Amino acid sequence: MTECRGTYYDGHTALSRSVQLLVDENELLIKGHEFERRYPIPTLRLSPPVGRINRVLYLPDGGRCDLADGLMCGDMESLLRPHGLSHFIHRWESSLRRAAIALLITVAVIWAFITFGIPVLAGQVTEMIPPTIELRTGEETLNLLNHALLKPSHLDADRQHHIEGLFTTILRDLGDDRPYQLLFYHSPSLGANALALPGGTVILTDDLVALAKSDEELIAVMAHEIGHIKHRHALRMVIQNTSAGFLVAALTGDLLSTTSLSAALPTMLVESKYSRDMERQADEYAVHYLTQKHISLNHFAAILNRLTQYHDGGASKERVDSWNLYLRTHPTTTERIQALHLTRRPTEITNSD
Amino acid sequence: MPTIHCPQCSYRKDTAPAKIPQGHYRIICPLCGHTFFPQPAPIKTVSQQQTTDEIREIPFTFHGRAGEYFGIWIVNTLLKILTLGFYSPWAKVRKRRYLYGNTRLDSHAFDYLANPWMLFRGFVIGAILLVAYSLLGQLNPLFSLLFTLAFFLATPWLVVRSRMFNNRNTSHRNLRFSFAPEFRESYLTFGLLPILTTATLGLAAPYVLYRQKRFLMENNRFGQTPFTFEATVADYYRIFLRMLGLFMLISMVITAIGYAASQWLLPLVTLPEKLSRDQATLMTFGAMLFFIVFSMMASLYLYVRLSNLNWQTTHLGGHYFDSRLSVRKMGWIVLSNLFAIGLSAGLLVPWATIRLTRYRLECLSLIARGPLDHFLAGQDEEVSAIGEEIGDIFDMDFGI
Repeated sequence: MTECRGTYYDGHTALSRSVQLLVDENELLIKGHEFERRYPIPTLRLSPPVGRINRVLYLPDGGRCDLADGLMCGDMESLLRPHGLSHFIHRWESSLRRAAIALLITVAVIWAFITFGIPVLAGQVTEMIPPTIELRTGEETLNLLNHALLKPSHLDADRQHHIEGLFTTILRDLGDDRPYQLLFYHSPSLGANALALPGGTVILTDDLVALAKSDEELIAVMAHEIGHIKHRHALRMVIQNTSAGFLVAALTGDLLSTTSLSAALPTMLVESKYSRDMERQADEYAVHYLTQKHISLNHFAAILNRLTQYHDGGASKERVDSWNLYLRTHPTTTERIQALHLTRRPTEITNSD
Repeated sequence: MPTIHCPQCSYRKDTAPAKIPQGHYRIICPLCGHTFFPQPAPIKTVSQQQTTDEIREIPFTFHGRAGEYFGIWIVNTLLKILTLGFYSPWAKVRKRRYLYGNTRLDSHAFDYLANPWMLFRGFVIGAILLVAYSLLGQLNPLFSLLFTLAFFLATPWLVVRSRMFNNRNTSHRNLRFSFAPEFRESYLTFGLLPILTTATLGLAAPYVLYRQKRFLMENNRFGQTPFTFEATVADYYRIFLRMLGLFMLISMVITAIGYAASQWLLPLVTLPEKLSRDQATLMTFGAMLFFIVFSMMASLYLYVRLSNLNWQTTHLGGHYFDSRLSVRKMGWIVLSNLFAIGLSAGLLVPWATIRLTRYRLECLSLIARGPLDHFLAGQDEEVSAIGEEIGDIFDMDFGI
């Protein structure tokens, strides 16, 4: 027979009573000033423990008792069916050491999920999506670009024809049956640039063609863009960014609305990491092709360097490389060229820098 | 003729008895702005009721601790991640039970009674909608347009359902709160009136906000007892005008300083060529930051002033509320919370939550007239959690 103090509310009025609670094997007795109630133990429900808030007994007639101390809870729990899981969670929550372990696991799981989980899942989802959807997305993107950024090319027909020839050769060597096409545009805002649209369209800007000093350099760039298309990077990007956004939203879902501002940064970090990973993958693809065709990787390194110089103007290279390393959509040129060194025949490459 | 005199300053005024409202009322002194409760008119037929009708201020108290809440928060976050979010209804109930259970009025705690399984159903529907929205929206912009339209149409419904669910599952002294509005009115205040705001280029914004708040407050009940809301449109416009005046003053001062600086300081410093390009980006960045800070400050000012007004003009069965949030303290708390959360990669979220909740609750009090025992329980109907969870997943803040 244990007893404890508590506050009783009948559930019909806001009236509260200070009461004494007594428990024996089959019955709970609630006793107050000119007041007495009895309830069979199995009809009661004890609130699961959370923090140090008072435990509550919910009574079958809609009444409730707030227990002033934890003295009786142990007995009640052994009499009622214990909430196994919520007790386990409560014990975990209330120990600082275990909470710290939870913190470590949380960080590890998020990291692993972002680095390995999402890309693998996105790859599998991408496989399931029919290429026709990609084609249409590509067409729409092209329409949009046509309106906003792209102008007709000034390249003469011979030059265009020549590069198209190179492009067809690459395609023939790769033996891919996707409907690839190569388009030339002039774009003051993009400058020297190459784009891969979902579905199979590769765009070269006039400035890029002018920047290239040899056919081999153009082949390297086009192989890189074809790599993007072959790995269906545009689609994967959509899927990965959506899942990452969902993850961040789920993690920060309980924050106050003002803090969505601080949630924007992690999302950006994750998205640019994915973008860099895809650039690396496209680089690998290009390297693979160039090696196959016995084309020196120096050409690739040369055009990468020239592109960097073109886009960063006179800025010194180190500064550009260290500048917002984690927000870049592309790996740094130094890193990309180092990767070329590592991949194949290091003796063949002399960094033209 | 009865005389009303302000206890703070020496202001006195004779008032015609007909002008004094029946029952309990408050007076704001026109001279010093002090709010006070005049003693009930000394009617000599003293009844039992009247002697117990003493007016006392009962503060809300909050007993949550950041350390304790951190444990709850991190463990539940981990479980949420490990279950790919499916645990989130349980996490939400635990966190709310902790926060509500640590909130007390007159030493009686609040309680959050939601059944996680009901939240779970709403969560699944909300999650499906979110995934559909973001996937289809990225593939074809037309989908996101349709979705936005549907969402716009559903908003008034979501607002009401979410509030119904949360009120119904909040209890105090074992009486549940409830929310019982007409959906028609919800569509008027949350569907049509916001169009008015846009149509009048924001001029109607205070009016629309006022109507929305009144709608939300007046349909609240504690047990059977409805809340009444006595703020006026004029009160709302006054606060908005004060905000505008204040911020025009601030921006004028800043512009003046900026102009002076560019006139006197810039010619003195010769910038190297390379820096000037960075400087342009820095300037744009600075302007953007300035704009963000500015609008944050404005919305904070409005939030504080309006919530003070809303509580001060709300009463419940003869009892009033008082709220004394200060713009400066609230600004400090929100800003430092933001930095703390950003710099700790989210780890200080529980600390920030406890801190903000504590400040908000400790500025709130009930001005009770007589005992608080007379409230009666209302009808009890189960409310589905679909509105609540969809709103939550799409990050809508309905605000209480």
